[in-house]
Amino acid sequence: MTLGLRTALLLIVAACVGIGTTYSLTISYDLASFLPEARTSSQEILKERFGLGPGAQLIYAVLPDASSSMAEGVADELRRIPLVRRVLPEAEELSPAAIPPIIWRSQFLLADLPASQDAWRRVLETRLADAALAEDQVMSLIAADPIFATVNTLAGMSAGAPRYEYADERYLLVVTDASAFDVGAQSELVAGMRTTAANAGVPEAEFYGVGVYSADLQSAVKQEATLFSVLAAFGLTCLLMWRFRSWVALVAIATPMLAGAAMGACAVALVHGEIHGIALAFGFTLLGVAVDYPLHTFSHPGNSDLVWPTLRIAVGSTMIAYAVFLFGGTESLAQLGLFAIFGVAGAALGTAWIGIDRTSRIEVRDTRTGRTAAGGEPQLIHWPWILALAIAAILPRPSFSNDLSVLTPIPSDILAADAKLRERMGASDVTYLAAVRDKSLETVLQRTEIAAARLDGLLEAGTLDGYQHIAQLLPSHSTQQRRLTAVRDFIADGGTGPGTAFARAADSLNYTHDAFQPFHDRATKASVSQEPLTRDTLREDKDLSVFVDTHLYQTNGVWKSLVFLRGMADTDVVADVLEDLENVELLDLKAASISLMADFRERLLRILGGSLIVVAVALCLITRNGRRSLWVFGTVTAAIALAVTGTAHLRDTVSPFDLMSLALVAGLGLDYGLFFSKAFRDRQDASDTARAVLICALSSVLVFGILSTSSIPVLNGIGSTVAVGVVAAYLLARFGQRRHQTADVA
Amino acid sequence: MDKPARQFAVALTIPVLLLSAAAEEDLARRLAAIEFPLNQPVAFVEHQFNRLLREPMEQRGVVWLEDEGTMVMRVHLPRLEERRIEQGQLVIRRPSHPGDMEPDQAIAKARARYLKLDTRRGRHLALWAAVQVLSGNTVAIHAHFAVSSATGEHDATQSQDSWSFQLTPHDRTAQRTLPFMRLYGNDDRLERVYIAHGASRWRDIQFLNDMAEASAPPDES
Repeated sequence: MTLGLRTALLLIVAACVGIGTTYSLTISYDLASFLPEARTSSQEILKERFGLGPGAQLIYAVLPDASSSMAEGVADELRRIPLVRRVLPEAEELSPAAIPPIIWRSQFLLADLPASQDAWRRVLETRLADAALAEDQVMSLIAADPIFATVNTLAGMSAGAPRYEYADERYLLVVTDASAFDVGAQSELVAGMRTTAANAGVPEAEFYGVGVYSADLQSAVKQEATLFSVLAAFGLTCLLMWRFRSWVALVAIATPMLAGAAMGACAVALVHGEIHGIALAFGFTLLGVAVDYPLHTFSHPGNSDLVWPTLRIAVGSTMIAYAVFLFGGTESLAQLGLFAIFGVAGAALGTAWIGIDRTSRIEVRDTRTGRTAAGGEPQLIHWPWILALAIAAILPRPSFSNDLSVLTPIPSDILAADAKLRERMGASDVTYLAAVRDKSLETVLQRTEIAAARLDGLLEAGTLDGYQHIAQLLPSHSTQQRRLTAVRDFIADGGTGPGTAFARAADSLNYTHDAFQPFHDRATKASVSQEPLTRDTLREDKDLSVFVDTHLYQTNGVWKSLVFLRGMADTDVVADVLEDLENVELLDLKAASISLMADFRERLLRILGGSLIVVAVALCLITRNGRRSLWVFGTVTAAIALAVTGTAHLRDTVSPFDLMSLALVAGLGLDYGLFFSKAFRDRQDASDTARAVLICALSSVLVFGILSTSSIPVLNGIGSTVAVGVVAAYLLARFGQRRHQTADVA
Repeated sequence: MDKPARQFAVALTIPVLLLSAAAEEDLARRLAAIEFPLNQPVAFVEHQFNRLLREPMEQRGVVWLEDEGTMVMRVHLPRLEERRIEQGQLVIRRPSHPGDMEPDQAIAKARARYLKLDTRRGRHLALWAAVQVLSGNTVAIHAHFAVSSATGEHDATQSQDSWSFQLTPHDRTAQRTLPFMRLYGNDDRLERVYIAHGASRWRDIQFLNDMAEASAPPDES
């Protein structure tokens, strides 16, 4: 069977496995599943609510220089987009018809009735002031709900500050039905919004929000990935064609890695059923080591027997190194480990299948110089390690970054505009929130009400601009009962009828005697047949269900109520106010995110350290050569140290994602070290090996060097870390040996 | 129509058109001549009526122009409130517990409520028009309103320099919310603004000479 046919067969098998896997494997994007288990309540809430904050499904649209009619035209067109649920400000008047039915039906459960004539007078006086500035429809609302229980509930639920109700129409708030993590839907939505604005004559419209950034990021990644793929493919093609002079060989070299990827994905599909997007991306990165396997095989034309003993060790020890990810403590890291292990195994089997016919000969450019026949017995300790470790030790300690925000690819001017816009719109603070928790839903709601009452004091004092919580929409059962009793008492005392506290207050303000008859009728009805408000009844309304689920949820049998804060002037004061409330806590999500990433980094460092130790032990057991094992271990360790130091100095910081890519540096360093330290059969073998490792290193540096020019920080980090690591590993392995002492070398 | 009749009609139309043009020119001149100095508070009393009320409600306070396009109405009675009309929006600050605080302090601490001045639908269009009138922005007024003489609105005591205009929104949608508003004045001074919101809802703002009347009704005796 020819090489071409074997390659074609392997490609078909890989394609079948790959296609079959795509039907059963789903890709998840929940970053929280990648992070270690939460240690603090802040971390717990952060992980549970990752990307599910009150602003996750909101997009802000700014229409600079648009006239009122143009802006309203854009808003009308945006409302036609299927994934758009609402566009604020809405043209609807404030009237009973504009209030959601469940809220309108439950008005007497949503607020306390004033208890005295003076209290009623203050309320009715405020309605007079409201009426002075209101439209005709509001009169009906005042007549039916003079305490504005329904209006205040809706205002409290507003996604932005009250100014969003009617303010400048050039600022639109788009409430979407697309999940923040559904990048496909977000891309479709954002593209539709941009086209709509352009067609409506506002091409300069600006859009802000999580969904916009994820869609733009996907677009940027796609563009860069296409460019880098073309550049890398061109560079690799040139390099490999120069070396192997065969298109078939070129395809044959790429095929084992594709087969490995299909096998890795299949293994993850069978075990986990889904794979995290990051695990998949880094799985492919770790699989980069597998490209070296066919390169080694084809670099020994007709003598692949000389490669396999060493290659088997390299494959085995790489799999052992990657196996440590299986014990990383999170499902996503386990998926990454599984993908990489089976990927490497698949690529190795694919390489064996392609290179099985030892009679196949690929023409290889002869570039022997006679000086390449180094290798063989390595030194126990040698100067390049010492130098590398000394450099890593002398240079300032790498600055590890645990702040995910430094990895954001969003330009700083957009971030600044976003922050300014959120402040203008009065969006909730994304850093702090108060959390209330208990096993009983009723207790959680009661404590939320107590916390809200305390926060009201801060509102009056100006320490806080506003807050949103579930109890304003879903009061506790006891509060609902208390309010219902008050309504029954109100009606029993005569309601708005003559001589009552209400009537005296209304009369003193010159209201007509029947102005509030609708209110009286509704109170009478509620006093006999008011249905209780429950979480389930509220969730039947689509708009309200989003609010309910954002502010109240249950995990592991514990109910959690989140109070989102806005415009906090002094966090200490807010924390003090909530301090003595049982199971109520002010959470700093930014600090939680940083501490969570610090834990993640420590876990990765432990995994890397564990991998190195396991590999060192495995090498000793497999090769039964302590000196060689120690040499390979030292080479890999020194390469990793240089990669971290180099990355830290190139990019000023080392992120957890950079650390993950060090696993590939370890895999490649292992490969180079093993091949440079093997016992060469003859000068030809030594020369072929040296050139094979050189081609492996060049191809890796080429691909990851291109990636290091990416404008996306995560990709840039992976590229520069691996490129520096590969250069370091190659140089340390290549020049870290004593000259060969075997007989065939002169 | 026979020839003499046609000649008579033409002869009559020309002076009517000329008179009408002259009257419009006079109105425009009067409108442009209204003076309202910047940053000088003027006392006002406002009466409002709607279908929920037996009698009109009275509010007293001061009004001033901060700059062209920004008008502040501060209500002192019956309760403290500030209405600031600026940049296309009405910002309302209503202290809930002013206590012993100075009005400036209480207003500054109060939470703001923002309402849009919607010149298309007529929401708060009257307040917007008032700012334009006081700022002398006649171009904006003419762009949104038909200006006509409010004939028959003068009483017998009014002097020769008294005038009154009726502003009617061009836009039919706006007319539903604001059928018309009337301005009354003397010489270059605006004295009263009457805003009709519908059959049973109106507002009547009178500018007063005595600042003391901003915080207390005039002595009946």
